[in-house]
Amino acid sequence: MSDTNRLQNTSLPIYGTAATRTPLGTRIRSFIMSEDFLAFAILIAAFLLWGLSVPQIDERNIDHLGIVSALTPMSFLGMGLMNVGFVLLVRREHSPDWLKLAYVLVLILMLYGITALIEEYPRFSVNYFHVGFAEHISRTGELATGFDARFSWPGFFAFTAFLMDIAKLDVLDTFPLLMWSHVLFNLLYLVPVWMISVALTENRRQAWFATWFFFLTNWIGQDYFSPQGMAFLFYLVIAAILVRWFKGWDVPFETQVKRIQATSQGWYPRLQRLADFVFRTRWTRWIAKVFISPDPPNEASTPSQRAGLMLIIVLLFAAIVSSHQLTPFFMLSTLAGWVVFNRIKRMYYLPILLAVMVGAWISFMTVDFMAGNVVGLLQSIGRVQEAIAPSTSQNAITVSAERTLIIRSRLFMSAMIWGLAGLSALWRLYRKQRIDWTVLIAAGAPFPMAILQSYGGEMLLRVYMFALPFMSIMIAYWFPFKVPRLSRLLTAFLIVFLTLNLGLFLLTRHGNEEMDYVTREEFEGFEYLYSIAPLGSAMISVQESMPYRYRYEVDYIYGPYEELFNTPELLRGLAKQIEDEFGGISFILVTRSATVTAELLYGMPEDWGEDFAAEIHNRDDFVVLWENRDMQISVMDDSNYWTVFADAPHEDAPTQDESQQDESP
Amino acid sequence: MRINGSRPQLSTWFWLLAIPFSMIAAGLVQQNSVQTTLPLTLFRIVTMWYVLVIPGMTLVKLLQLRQTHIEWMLAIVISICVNMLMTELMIYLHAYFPKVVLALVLIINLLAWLALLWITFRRGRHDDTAQ
Repeated sequence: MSDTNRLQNTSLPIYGTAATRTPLGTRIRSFIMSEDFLAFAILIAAFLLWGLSVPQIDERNIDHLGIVSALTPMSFLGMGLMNVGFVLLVRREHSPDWLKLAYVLVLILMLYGITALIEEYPRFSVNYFHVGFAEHISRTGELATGFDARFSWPGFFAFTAFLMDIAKLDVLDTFPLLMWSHVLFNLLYLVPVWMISVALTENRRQAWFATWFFFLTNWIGQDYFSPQGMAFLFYLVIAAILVRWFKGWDVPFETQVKRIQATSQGWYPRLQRLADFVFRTRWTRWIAKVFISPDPPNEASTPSQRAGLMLIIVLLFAAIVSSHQLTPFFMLSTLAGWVVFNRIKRMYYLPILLAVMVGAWISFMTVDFMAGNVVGLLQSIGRVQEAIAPSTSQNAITVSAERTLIIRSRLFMSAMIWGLAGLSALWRLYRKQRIDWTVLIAAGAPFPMAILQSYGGEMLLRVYMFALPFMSIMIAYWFPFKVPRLSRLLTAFLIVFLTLNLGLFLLTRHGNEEMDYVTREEFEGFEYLYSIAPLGSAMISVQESMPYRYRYEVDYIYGPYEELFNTPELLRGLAKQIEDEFGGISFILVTRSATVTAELLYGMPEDWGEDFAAEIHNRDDFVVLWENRDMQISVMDDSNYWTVFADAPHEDAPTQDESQQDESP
Repeated sequence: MRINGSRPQLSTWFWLLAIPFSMIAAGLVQQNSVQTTLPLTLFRIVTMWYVLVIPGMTLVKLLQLRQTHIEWMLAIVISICVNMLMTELMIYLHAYFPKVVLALVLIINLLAWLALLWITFRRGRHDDTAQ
């Protein structure tokens, strides 16, 4: 890209343009007559189609295939049209940025906001757990590091607690935040992703395409109300600052050669001779050119601005280190790669500083967690199979054809994106004799993490997420956005390619929705449970995938007990054992989301949950306290429950006689 | 703010005034006497506006990036970071009180705003002298 174009691409204010600006009416008329208006009309049509389809979508229609099974043809059409309109925009050189931005914003709403619009309560049980952590901090002002490892990295929960306290939000007030966190996080990701794309691509259309592709393929779903969602934002911001202002080799190769020669001249005569040799011989010069492969120019900045930006990076380091276990290591890996290959300017101290901060945090602030887990953490190094298995093979052996399709779609989509990005790197080396080191390093740096730690089988998902902004850029390199207008054939190909990715996204991203959505009936059941369950009670379920733990989280006993839910006798034995050991009440919970999770992930038979609930209902040794179509709460007939409520009956709690009367078929 | 002799930008004046007003408003609405008279929604809007935007925006304005979208993104991210780190500090000191955390953030913010004020008027004087 020429320097003139580069200047146009920056956001520097251009003075003196007001006098030459055409009147608003003329501009509107020319806009209506242009191809941009077609793209604008498509955007409006797509939004209307999609928006009108939303009220027709019923969460109860979601099945093993995820949200795809509940969407209407109008929803698909609306989302499909988005790709058409966006491609029509980026195929031409002078399409307006505001329209591309509008497209990306609507895309984010469509893809990430759909669950908030069709579901009544926040989805995904872990959202509720995280609010529970914050509620604990808010109520007690302390951490419970012995209760859960996440308390050893409390940044996100501490901030949420502060927000709850200072804005007077109770647990239920945070629910809109939980529901819309996917959209909010992705809106926050937009600017840094766009900054990264602009800084590392050859023109603005390519950058917009990379940004679009990122949001179209970010299926990992870590952007819920979570520390990793926040830490990923910090990661992106750090990367964006570094590649926008601090790229190491950002001048043309010839200038770089002169710089190296000038630097080596004064210092080391031998180095100078080496530099002369390298840049004189044809082959060594080619190798040097490939090795240097300069990036697009840095954004202009003053020393004080650079110092300020460095302080922001250090602040973000501190926030990442204290918020999330994994993100600092991804950051460290990327930074180390950039420093080693001189892709960021004179920043040798950055990875060292981050490593020291991580080391200090783990050594001093996570003692409670590390005390019982060091051996396990060390043992998992090098077990790559563990990093892959739980998210692929283990799930793939289970239940339905639909579930298998979703698992395979995830594998296919990941492999396709990584493969296309890898081929793009090879193609650029072959055709342009360059290696895009900055992009390649950041795209590849997350992969060694899968060798170091399996993280319960989720590591590969995180690798995909951290690599994606840079993989998207590498995929954008495939398309010749330098030409004034893409050919019709290429335009058609782009539409098909993006539509394929949209389809895969809907399957992969929202494929777990049957497990993740929460119904009013489930939530009301838990509200009832919290109104009666004394602190210290146990909440026993087949799976933890339920909307609970959002109140007094550390004061109850939880646990998924898949194997014990095969027979009520085993379950009863467990409930009795817990009551004898801890003295509280064992509440046995059968919920829609937990039983579906057990069916989908652990091979329980179809409709197993309903049968089990009916069996509990009909047995004499269990008493059902609460029951609706999605939730059943029961206790044993000789449970401590009857002792506790015999002395001080809760106003909402049924007596044993009433409960047994309710059991009539 | 005067940069290279240009006229002060409207947005600069806006933020120079909006920052102290937001600080005062955020402090005031935390007073019990004000809280009882203020609608809860307005109270939350004022508080959230301050907590999520102002501390970061004050620090970002010091950098004079003059790129609105980047400034807003950095302002939100830095605000979250500052509040997060202050809260964590107080929790680890076993002295977590939300109003104390807010007071600490306000102090940092005040210092940053004073620095912003100083830089703005120093540049203004410098430009006047140069002209």
